[in-house]
Amino acid sequence: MPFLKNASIRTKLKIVILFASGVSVILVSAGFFTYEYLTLREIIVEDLATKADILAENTNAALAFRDSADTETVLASLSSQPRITSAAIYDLGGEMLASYTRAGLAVVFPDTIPPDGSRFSQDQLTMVKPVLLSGSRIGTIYVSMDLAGMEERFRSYGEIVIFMLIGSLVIAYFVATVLERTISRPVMSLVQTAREVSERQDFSIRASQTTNDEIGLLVAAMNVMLDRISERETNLHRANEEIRTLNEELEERVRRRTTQLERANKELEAFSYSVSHDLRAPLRHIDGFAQMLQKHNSASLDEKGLRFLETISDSAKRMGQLIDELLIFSRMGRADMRYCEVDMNGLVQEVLDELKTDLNDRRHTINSDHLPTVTGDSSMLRLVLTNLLSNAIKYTRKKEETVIHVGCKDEDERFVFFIRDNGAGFDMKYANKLFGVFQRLHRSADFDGTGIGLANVKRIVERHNGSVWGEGIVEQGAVFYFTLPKSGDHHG
Amino acid sequence: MAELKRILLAEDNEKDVELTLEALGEHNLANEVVVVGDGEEALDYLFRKGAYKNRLDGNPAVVLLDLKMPKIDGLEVLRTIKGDDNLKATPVVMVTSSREEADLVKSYGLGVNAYVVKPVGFQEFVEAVKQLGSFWAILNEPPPGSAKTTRSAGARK
Repeated sequence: MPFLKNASIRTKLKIVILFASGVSVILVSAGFFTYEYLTLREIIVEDLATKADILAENTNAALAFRDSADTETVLASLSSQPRITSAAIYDLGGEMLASYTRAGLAVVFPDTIPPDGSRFSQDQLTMVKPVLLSGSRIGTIYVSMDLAGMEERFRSYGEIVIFMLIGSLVIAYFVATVLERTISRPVMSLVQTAREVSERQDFSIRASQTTNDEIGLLVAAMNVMLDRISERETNLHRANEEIRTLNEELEERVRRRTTQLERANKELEAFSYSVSHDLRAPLRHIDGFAQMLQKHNSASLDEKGLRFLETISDSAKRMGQLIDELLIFSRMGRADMRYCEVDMNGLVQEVLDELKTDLNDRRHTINSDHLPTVTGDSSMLRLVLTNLLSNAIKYTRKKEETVIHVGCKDEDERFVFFIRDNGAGFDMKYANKLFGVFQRLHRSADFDGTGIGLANVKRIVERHNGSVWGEGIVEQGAVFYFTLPKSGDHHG
Repeated sequence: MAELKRILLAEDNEKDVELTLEALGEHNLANEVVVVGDGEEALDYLFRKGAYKNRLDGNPAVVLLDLKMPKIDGLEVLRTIKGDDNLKATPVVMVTSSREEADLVKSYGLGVNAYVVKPVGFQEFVEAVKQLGSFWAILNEPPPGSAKTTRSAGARK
């Protein structure tokens, strides 16, 4: 019953009570009506049988003598019985001896005598009985009765039943209204409580338990549930407070650390500033005065002395170079990243153009795949390519032909760039030392360098959230890989 | 005769002064160089105060400033020069060991005319000083009111 789905529980209860009482009243009335009907029929049949018996008694003598006129007279007395519509007396041979028909009616008697007994037709009750004389049958009596009266009686019965039905439904409605309240009131109060709790988020409200039935149990269960919720709420609140306090402490700690870090950073900056300014001056003086000595006093110096001066100058210059590169390295770690779209093809080409002079008249094959555009700091990425490509050019110096290949592999989340050369390579057991500051795998006499280039590469690539590694075989070549994320996460 | 204009060199390091003068001397540019040892002395010279109360008239054709000096540093001297109506037209060149971006930004922000990083190698240093000297003391036409002498008339300091 879909219409009941949206009805309130009060309506549902009323409908259920009215329906149940209505059904029982209808059933009772139907029983009562059936009983009345059957009883009435029995009384009528008995009544008609009695009348037929009396008629048979009154006419048996006349029938015995086949006195038709006398029989007619007896039958004519039936006119005092308004319900009897017709009657007839037959002899044993089935011949009609006399008949009666109520005035104003045209009755057709059956051609043959029906068997003994009573039968109801549409609006008639017909009774056929034997006429006895001294216990033996001498003929048959046929009586027919009009049932119109009975119908009327049933109608009035029906009216009473309908009246009773309506009356009992009205009473049932009032009873239902009263009864429904005893069930619905606790339910309604429970609903009200639930609504208040959910609307106000106030878990201290409790439903009042007024009954000990299932609804009472429900109320008790809900109160227990509310207890638990409010307990949890309290716990949650306390936990949140704790988290907040911890957070504040953490923030305070972070703030303190940041201040410390900032101070340390400032000190570091001041340090590198001093390094840049103050360490370079004495180097310049060493070189300068050594050169001046050479210039003004070369006559008084022998070949050995001149070579010493040369070495002093060279060392000073080399130290200046080391300081410069160390400063670049420290700057790469501190400088702000300026993210933009970088076309790696263009960048590789520019760097190769700059390094062209290092190739001199060497036989060389340098090729590059088509490279993607990435998001990054272009000056930093240029330094990465400069370092890796100048390394590739440097370490292939002793080969007959320099072969360098630049490529890129497209992986799910990142691009893997690589630069492969056929140069001096390196022993893989020292691979972990490649990217350390001032770490070198070759002697300066073989290949010059400060040992800071790859450390710079690592620092820059890691600041781009990428990684870097190298593979090498001694005297066969090396491959250096670095990755850049496709999404270009802008942090670090 | 080519005119040789006066150069004010503010440099606290005596060895740097010697190297600079040597480099200028190698190209006969050292005769009109006034050397001061710190920022205070540089300002005294420019504003004719203290020891320089009675110096010759005219502003130098160029001021070569070291960044890091005792008492008053190069940036402060630069700020004072560029803030003075009489001096602000005088060209100022920072000559320093510092390659720090912050120093570059600050110097140009204050209106420096050039910024030169001293190379460590002596040959490169000599080359840089020579170019500086010949550009500012010979080639460049200084603002009116700068002191002028001829190369021949200049007394070697």
